[in-house]
Amino acid sequence: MNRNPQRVVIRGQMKDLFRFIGHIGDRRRIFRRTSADRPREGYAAALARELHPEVQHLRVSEIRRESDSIFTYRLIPVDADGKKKSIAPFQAGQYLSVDVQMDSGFFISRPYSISSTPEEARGYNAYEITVKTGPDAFIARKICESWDIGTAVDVSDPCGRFTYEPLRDTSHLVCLAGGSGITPFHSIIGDVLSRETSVSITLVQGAANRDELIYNDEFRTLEETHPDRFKRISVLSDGPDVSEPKGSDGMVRQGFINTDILTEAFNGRDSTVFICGPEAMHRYIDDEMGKAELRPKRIRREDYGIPGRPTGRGPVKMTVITAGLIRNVPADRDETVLVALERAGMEPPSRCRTGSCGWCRGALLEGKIRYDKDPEGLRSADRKLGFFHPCAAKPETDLIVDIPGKKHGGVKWY
Amino acid sequence: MPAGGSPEVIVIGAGLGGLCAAYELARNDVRVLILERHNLPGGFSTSFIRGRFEFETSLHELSGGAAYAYLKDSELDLEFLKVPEAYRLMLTEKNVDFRAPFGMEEFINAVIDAVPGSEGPVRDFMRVCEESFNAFTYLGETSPPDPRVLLRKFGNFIRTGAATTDEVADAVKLPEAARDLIYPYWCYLGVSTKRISFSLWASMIYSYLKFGAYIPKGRSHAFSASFAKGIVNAGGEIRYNAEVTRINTEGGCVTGVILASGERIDCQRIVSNISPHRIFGSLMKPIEVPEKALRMVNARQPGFSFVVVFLGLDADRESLGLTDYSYFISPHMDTVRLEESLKNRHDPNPMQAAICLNAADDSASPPGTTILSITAGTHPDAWQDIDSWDYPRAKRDFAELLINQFEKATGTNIRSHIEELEIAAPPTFSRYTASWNGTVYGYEPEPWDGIIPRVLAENRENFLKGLRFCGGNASRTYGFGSSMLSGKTAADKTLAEMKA
Repeated sequence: MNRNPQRVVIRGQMKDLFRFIGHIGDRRRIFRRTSADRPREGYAAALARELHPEVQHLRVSEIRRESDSIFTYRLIPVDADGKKKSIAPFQAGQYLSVDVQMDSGFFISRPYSISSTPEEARGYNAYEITVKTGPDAFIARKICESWDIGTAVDVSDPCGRFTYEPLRDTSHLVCLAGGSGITPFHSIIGDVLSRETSVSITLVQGAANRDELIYNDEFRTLEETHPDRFKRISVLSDGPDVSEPKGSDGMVRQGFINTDILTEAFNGRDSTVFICGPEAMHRYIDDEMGKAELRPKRIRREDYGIPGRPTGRGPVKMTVITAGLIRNVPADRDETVLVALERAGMEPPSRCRTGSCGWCRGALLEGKIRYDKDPEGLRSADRKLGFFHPCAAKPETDLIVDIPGKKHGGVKWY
Repeated sequence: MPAGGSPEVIVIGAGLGGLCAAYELARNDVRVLILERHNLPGGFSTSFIRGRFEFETSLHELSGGAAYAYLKDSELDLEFLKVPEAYRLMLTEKNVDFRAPFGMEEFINAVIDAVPGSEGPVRDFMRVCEESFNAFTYLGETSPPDPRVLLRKFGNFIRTGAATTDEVADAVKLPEAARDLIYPYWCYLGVSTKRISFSLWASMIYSYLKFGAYIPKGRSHAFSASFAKGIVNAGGEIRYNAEVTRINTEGGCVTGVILASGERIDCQRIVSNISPHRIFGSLMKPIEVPEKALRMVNARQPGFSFVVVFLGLDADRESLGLTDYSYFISPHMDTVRLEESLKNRHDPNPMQAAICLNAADDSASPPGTTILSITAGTHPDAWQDIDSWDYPRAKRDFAELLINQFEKATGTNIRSHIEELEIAAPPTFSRYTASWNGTVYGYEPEPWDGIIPRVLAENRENFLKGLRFCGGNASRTYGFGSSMLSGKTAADKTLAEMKA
């Protein structure tokens, strides 16, 4: 800066000086002539509340039997304070974290995909979820045994990112479903076929047997309505009655979803693959798909749970700091920290239960944990500084952990 | 609870200001408790993960000024990376493609080269900016300031103290073509150059150009997580999922808080990282709210918001042709018109600020991938006509427009490489930070509500004894650095009070 300093004058030497000093007076004058009403927040905040209520109080209004072990529950809002409530909007493929009351009285939450399309859900003002019970499905069994018409059920706002994205995805989708992994596809397929007229879909539905090939009628109707845009291949692992094609189950194949079936589904088209099902199915399909060398962007997944690899090394002690209190909680090397907290009736926050959403994030103050599957959603700074995701972490030693208080009753919207 | 029982100070909100305040208090052996409604620290200072990508939520760059110096000296576990250049500006209606380097002399020369004959006014203008910055430094270091020193050494600062940026540009006869190149940072303050306090604007641009800019490794979540860890290590406590729903007062003094869970915590001192709008508008019993506080709240403008498109791309930055870190793309640089367009969600040609993270941090994403985020201003009210079920589509339409605009201006192909995509809009910010109506900045710093009037009026506007504000709504105004350091200021004042 080689020029000499210069005076900058805006309105005049003295005027500028007085204006500077006069600021405080301006400020006071402006305040004085302003209203003293309570400020009201605008629409953006209202929209956020509508899209993401902290909790939705619902009740079971209808139960449909899909098979001997699979049931669909329709959940409608409980009107409160004489006001009609509406369900929070969602995108096809999203899930709800559902609170299930255990015999002890405590609640454990589980993610369930919304099986209704947004259009249906909005029309009925109800969500539907489909639950498959079985000897090992502890929480699902509890639901199927204890839920009846009128049962009160609290659920989260809709969450998850297993959704079709036009800015990212191709105009042909291959949907790979294993068992109850079919539920989000019921929503996605119905939604995409009706709203995205240039997109076609091939569904590959894996199930144990014909009885478990659920949503058959709905899919058949879609095939008839959109013959050029919707195809499905059913894959039965128990050994199908191929000799007895009903014609109503789509094309039926035997065994598991393999390279041949994938090739048939892709049919040479650039496709985006959506995969939802048990962990074993993901691994199997990965091997089969590895041969196709798809770009990662073409593969969208919804995981169901954390893989268990028993070590048989037994219990550890866990000290838990939560909301200013300290508790001792038994834990096991073969169970996640989250499950230990739930067993102790602490109702810790959780959503995805696969390490990705971060809802359960806590601090590891002492001890060692392990991840059988890397928690995808754990932030890099958190990895470095000792924060962890309890839903994906299993204890290796005794632990001291700091866990956020439970979410319900924690947050209220203004 | 920290050893010794109930907290001496409660900090409401673990945004950067609240975290910094609590960190300073805890390090000075004050029993401090932060109550945060979300399950993460940081507020806007955070990150999120989609697939293989960890996205920076909001920080484009931290200037190498006071906040950076504070963090470097703070004993926090942080690693910084230097931002390579100030910005690349593309004004599509004016055929401007300008690369602004860091370094005051380098910047001035680049502007003079691009706008022949502008040297005198450009140097004058930048010199007044420098003086404003120096005056703020003097004010920050000297208490109380000596009016004679102010007048003698910082005459231009005094004379421009009540002026807007345009008024000063007019006074030095800065040509329009030079303003076009110098003004893009206006969007980091969010108020047109016709309305914004010059001294604040000047001090911001000077700080960037003089000291350069940095980003933390691990995104701005690294700030938040390391503060959180530092607070706990120093004996403070942070509670997440703990939302304050009521501030109790008695005879004009703070007496404590009530949480959504029903728990009551008594405390005589509160540092609020949440806005006066929220505190006086909904957290106190209406009868206990001082009328003056409501007038103050209603007079101030909570500012605007953003749409941000976060893109994880499945090609490396070189093959995508993303040569720069920071892009400003706009039809023109008439900030009044640009500010007006924030109210229109359907404006076909808004101003955007795009950041290619990998240009400053080559390990920002896995090899063969790139992170690009595109930000455009928007007024929360521009989202009023949306049916909640159509909200995802409305966001996507806006995102598509920004992606197209970026591709067109830079001649790149982004669309076919999108592996992960997330879109934030005013409701997103409302959801995660509970900022007032989803706004992203604090109150608009028009000259009557710039730093100087705020500082001078601070004592008089202390409507509730025991309550002090930090964060973007406090006296230092907003931005990462200011919000954070406001926490230090709040802690220093609280400590002084406690000693007295």
